[in-house]
Amino acid sequence: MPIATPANPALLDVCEVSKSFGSVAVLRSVSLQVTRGEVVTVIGPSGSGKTTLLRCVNFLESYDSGSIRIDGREVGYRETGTRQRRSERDLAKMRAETGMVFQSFNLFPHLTAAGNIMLGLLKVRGKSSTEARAIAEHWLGRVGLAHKADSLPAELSGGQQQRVGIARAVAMEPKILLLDEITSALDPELVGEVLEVVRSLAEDGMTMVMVTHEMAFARDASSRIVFMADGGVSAAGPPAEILGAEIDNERLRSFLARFRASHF
Amino acid sequence: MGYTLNFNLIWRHFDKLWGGLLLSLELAVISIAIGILIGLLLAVWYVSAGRAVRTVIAAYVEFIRNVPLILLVYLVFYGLPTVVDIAYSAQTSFVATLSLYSGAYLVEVFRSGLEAVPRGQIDAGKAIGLTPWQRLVHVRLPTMLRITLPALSNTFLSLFKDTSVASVISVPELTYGAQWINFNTFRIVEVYLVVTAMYLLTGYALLFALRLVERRFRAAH
Repeated sequence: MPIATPANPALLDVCEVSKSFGSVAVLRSVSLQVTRGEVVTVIGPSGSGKTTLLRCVNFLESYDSGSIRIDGREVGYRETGTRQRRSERDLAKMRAETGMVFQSFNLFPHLTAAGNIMLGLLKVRGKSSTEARAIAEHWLGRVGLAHKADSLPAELSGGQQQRVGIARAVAMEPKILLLDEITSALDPELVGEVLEVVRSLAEDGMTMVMVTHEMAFARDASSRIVFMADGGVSAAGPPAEILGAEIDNERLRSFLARFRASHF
Repeated sequence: MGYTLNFNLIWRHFDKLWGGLLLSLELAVISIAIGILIGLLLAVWYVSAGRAVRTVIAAYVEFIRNVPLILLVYLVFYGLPTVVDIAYSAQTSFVATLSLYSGAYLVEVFRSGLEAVPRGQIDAGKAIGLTPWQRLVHVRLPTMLRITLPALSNTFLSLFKDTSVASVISVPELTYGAQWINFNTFRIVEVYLVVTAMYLLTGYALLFALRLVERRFRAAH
């Protein structure tokens, strides 16, 4: 299991991050380190802060204290002086370093599959339209949708839309890919095609943090599983350990028991 | 009773009605174009601005919405030149009034359209690193346009009918043409029947064309 060391520093370093919505604490001093090439899955009951944590990593959500660094750089706040939110322009630059795939796909409805992928390449990466188109076609091929380049999202199935969503995120060549329950909105028979794409990205060495309810996938594809409960990291370790029988974490045991009861 | 319809005099002066209809359309098109500009600018400003700006924009919208159009037309054409030193033709004055009028309604249309853009789309725009301006132009406005197109069509149709108010300051649009023929021929029933039919047919044709455009837009989503 890759552990961050001076020789292999963490690509993503979440350090004691806390966040409250009013009087409700959603993140309680969460720390998490992810090294290059690692696939970390985050599991836990709903309301445990998994999605909020992921959204803090690319600053779609702000946080009250602690720090989140990607490649050594603080994501949402200026690094000098008092804690101050970065300018929108800087935030945009920082966010371009991470890719995100959403539960509800969130494709731009007015753009074709290729257009969805090209937008960031053209406007953020400054590619020419020929280059952007070539990159879009390459990634659409990778997710098995080369023939859908000119289809609009409304003409695609959920699984196809989500694969476009993945292609849109990875085409930007992010340092880290965030996957937020990306199969939860899909019909069961479409889940496999999406997970297959994620698996192939993992094989390519893409660093990923994935919030998921797909336990089998978490077991097979991740290098580490993080179990969150009540806004904190309750347990973390390799899949065999977390999903194994000897675990002495009571909350994790009851979560898994309830999960198995409802899914098997 | 005993009144015989005679359309001959109407046809003899039909150029007044035809020219009037074209002018009505022109007034509506120019006004909605300027109105869209006003509406877009203020709506975008509104959703991103602080309380002071919002209050000023809301005051403009409420003022226009609660004052009858005919009064606004009088205020701008007769009132304004007596207070400030400007001179304009009746037509220019009317276009200015109708633009401000439609602008106020469109601020509301566009504002609610912008607020109806799903948050997920904005998140997706953020996630790929678009700046706020890029998100506005490439994500929010296209979706807003799709959402607001039906309301935009309705506003345009209303404006087309509202151009008849210009007759009160002698702008020679369709209703004014009808009044002219009425004064000169006294064929009151005939002329208003014809003009009603002209408004109706034109309105219907516009509606049909706009629905076609909407359908094409919807097909693209």
